[in-house]
Amino acid sequence: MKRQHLSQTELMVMLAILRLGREAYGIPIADEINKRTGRELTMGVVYSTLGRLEEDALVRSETGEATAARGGRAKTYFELTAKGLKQVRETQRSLQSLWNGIPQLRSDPA
Amino acid sequence: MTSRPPPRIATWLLQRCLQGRHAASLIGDLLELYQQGRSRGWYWRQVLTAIVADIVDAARASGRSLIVAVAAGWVAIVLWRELNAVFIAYTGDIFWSLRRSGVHRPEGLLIAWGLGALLRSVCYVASGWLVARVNARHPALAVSIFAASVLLIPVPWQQIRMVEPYAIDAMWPVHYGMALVGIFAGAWLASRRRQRYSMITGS
Repeated sequence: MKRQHLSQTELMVMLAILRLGREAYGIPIADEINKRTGRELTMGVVYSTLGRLEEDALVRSETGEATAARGGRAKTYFELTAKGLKQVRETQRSLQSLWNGIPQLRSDPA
Repeated sequence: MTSRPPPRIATWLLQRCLQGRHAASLIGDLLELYQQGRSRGWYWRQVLTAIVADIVDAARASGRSLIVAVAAGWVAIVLWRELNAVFIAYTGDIFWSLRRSGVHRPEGLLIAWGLGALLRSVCYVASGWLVARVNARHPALAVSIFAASVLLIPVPWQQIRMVEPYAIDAMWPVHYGMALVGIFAGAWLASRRRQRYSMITGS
């Protein structure tokens, strides 16, 4: 079933993945969102969102290396699929068209 | 980096409760952050929100099959309740047969009550089994919701009235205990059958 829209959290997670490139696994994704937006997502929410996006084929995952600090558990790296990238672009376009032309939101030169 | 053990119960809960595709990675991420110096309170908060998020995901993924599974469990209970009514109708005959064979009145009633309780227990086992089988993808969630619904909506079973010295003023703990044990035993049986099937088929 085609997805109608992305939620704000989904969009933030997808943008964080795009910003991180090949380093996009749970911790950096949550850190990036926190650093850029000030919003502190718990790891459970991050993975729940990633699971949903993967189910809709908007992101794909790849198993990485395991370390002792992680109790021997492997990292899972994420990247956007072509469909995911298209969805982000569509969301950007539709939000931009809503944004444009609102006098109250024009940047104040002062 | 010095390794410090994370809260054991929280980690056990995580390992037992998380069923999502990336559960192992999530646990690994939490352990990694905890080793970087996060507090025990932080760890517990993360664990609880991860479990809640996982349950919500499972409910969302189950969708209609979750409702169908819970409804199927209730249909089983209602049908069994009718069978129980038939049993109650014959209880008098059972009781007098016991009396004729020399069983005292209180013991006769206790045996008749026990048979009724056994019938109700079988009903709960069967309904728990059915719910777990119908929602095979997320059986734990479906069975938990079904069990909660059974606790919230008590089933008006017809039953034998107990007399002294076996009468218990408040029978509800017995009924609720029987319902919970039966439902989860049925779910456990369904999971054992599934494990055996996957061992045979290799799936």
